[in-house]
Amino acid sequence: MGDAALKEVHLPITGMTCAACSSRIEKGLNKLDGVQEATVNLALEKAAIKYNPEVTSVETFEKKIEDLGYAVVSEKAEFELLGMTCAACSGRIEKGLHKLAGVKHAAVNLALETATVEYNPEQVSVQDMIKKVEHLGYQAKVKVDQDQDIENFREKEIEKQKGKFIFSLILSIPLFWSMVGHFEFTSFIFVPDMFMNPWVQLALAAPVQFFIGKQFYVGAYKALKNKSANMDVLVALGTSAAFFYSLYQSILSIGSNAQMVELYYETSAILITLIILGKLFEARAKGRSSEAIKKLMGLQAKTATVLREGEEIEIPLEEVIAGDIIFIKPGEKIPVDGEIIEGQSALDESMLTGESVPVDKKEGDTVIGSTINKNGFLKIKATKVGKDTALSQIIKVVEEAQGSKAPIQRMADKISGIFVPIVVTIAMITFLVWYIWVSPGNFAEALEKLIAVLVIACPCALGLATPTSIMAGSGRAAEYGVLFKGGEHLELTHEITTVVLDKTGTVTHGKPVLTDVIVEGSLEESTFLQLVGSAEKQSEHPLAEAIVKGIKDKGITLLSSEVFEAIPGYGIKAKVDGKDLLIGTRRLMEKYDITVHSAQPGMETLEENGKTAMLVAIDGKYAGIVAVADTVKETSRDAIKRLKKLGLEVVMITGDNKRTAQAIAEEVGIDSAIAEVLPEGKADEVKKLQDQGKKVAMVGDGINDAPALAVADIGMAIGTGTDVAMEAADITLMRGDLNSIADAILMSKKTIRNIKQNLFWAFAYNTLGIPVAALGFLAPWLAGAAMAFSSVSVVLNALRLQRVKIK
Amino acid sequence: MKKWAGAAIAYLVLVMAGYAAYDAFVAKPEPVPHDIEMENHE
Repeated sequence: MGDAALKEVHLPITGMTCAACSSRIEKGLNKLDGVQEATVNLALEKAAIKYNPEVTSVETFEKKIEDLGYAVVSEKAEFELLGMTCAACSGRIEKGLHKLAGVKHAAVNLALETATVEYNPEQVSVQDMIKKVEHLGYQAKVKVDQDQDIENFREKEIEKQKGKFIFSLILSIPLFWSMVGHFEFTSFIFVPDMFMNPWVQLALAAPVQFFIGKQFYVGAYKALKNKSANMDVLVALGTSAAFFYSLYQSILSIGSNAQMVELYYETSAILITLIILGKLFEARAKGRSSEAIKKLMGLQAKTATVLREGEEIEIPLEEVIAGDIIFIKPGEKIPVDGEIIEGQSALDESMLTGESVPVDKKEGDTVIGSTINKNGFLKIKATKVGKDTALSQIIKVVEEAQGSKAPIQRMADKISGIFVPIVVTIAMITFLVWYIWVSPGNFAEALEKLIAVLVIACPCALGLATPTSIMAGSGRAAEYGVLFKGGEHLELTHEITTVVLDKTGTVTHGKPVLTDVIVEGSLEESTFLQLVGSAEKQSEHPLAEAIVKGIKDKGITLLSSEVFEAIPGYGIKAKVDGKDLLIGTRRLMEKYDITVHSAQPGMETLEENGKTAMLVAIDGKYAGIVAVADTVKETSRDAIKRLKKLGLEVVMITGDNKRTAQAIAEEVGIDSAIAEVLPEGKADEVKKLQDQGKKVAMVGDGINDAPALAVADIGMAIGTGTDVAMEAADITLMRGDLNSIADAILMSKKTIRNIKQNLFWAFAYNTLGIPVAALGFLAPWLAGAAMAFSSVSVVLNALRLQRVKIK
Repeated sequence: MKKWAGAAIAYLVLVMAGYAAYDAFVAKPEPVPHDIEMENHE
């Protein structure tokens, strides 16, 4: 089956605690019929599933996820409805909404004239629902701002965990107090008799163990039911061992001196308290790592002033439809993508491109939603709304990149998948070694070591190491106007050795201008230009457009041509004002037997200066030259210097002749230029470089360079996010500036370094922690604290990427 | 969060009150070891 028939869905998941959970869901989903590929991101708490909709459905995935012991989070939207008259109406709307793919539940309240819809935002949008209701003959308006639902759900979860932490902390303090009585060095501290009593300790530890710790038992049960093991299994095993051994000791103590019994109630309670604290920190830090997306979403305007039925009204952004006429005052945000139909202004596009200089826009120009109108009043026609706007596309690319897996993560995933059974085995061996050889018959001591091993070995940090760095790194890169399409590209980019730059539109502006005019003989320059301009007026070639614009700018009025013929690859043939004109290359002149010897020196000088010269013949005689040139971007020279400083080889590739290519290359400081390459030949040139063992990044405008972008190890498209470039390349450089290439490479280097640090610490925690605990150097509660903070330290290290400076 | 803290404190107070009541009305005084008794006597 081809990829075209496949669908992709993203489901937000709740309830995962460690990498074992995410890999279990991944495995479970991948086993389902019709699923081509499923990946689950622990840090983002999202599953991305590619599937065949004819074989399986989203409902099946949701059921599977729920069977595995987790839940799919859905969003809720509320609408105000107009036009309902009876119960049949509300029933119709409910049914209609239910029919939309992605709607899980829809309830319409006839009395309140509202609808509440639970849906998967990845499958269906608020606009789709409004359209559906309107299609049914009613009107719907969004009632509340609902894009915060998932965020609210997470906030609520964090609040609940905070409460649980406080509860178990208060009950653990007396137990901790009783523990200090056990140590010689703290024996001077007064401990009330009450807290040393086994039954008081039991009363304090039991709610922590079974009420607060219920989540670990539930998690462990679900994991074991599905024949796998996760962090919950380790925590449940460790704390239960401590608790039930103490309970056994308490029962034995009945009738004897209760104060002398060896108890471990404090171990289980303090462990649970610390683990919940660690999870709290982790959840907060994880929330911060998706800040880049929140920032992007925050860029959107909330409302728009539109013209409806001849009136200017303010409506929520969700209700703007393509074709709406929108008014934007100075200082306001552009709500959606559109085209200016009246007015002119400077627009601040820095939030999307990182470019701080405002861009002048006038009638006919396109504007991007969420940019700021600086000084003029604008009237625009909405062209793209909702999911289609440039900003939504950017958010989608960043989200997908953050959710994707870097190849480096596979190893960590594999290890954490088999970690738990190995740890349980090591813990059992530790127990037996201590009980039989080290301290024969001392059950309590052996048990303590077993608990410490179980708890220190949790592979949480290992599971979080890579995804948190990818999230923070790709988010930060987006702020610099660099959009990575996936984790693998973020990982590969730092290995690049050679950067191949397309000339037109990449090194240069891609907009040629008329630069030189040489007239041969007695003809006046203005007459010469009038004839040339009038002939070229019919042509659609970009060079012809540049010539016509240049001539018009000189105030010359153009005539209409009587005959016009474009000769592809050669030039044009036309008749203007009774005169026969030929404009084009040397080959065109040769074809019509026109002698151009006298033009040769002028042509060569122009070409050596990087200009494209065109010969003009009038009535069969050579009459002059018009030259156009594409100007080099102001930033290209510095950017190429930066790339060279990074030790990269820079190559320019172009379809221009050798002399022009060499001139441009010299101007910007590029040592090697490959000239006279046809668009389809660019990919071959990239391959040749790869055959020499080089890792090649191809930078182009994404449309005519598509084959070369695809062949290169990394394809970078220069664009503003509005064009197809984003589809074609691995990385989109939002600024038209070549400095973004160095930014992308540096960001990749920094992210990879961060991932390696994280993996090192995560491995170190587990590989050093286990022997230390097995040898008996680590008290169980210390093991718990170390385990809890290992995850936190990994996440905090990843967050450093959010503040990284790459200039 | 206040709700959780309140519940924990109330439960802790209840346990402590329970122990105090048990200690005052039910528990028999533990026999004082002989050597301590002698020290006190001296």
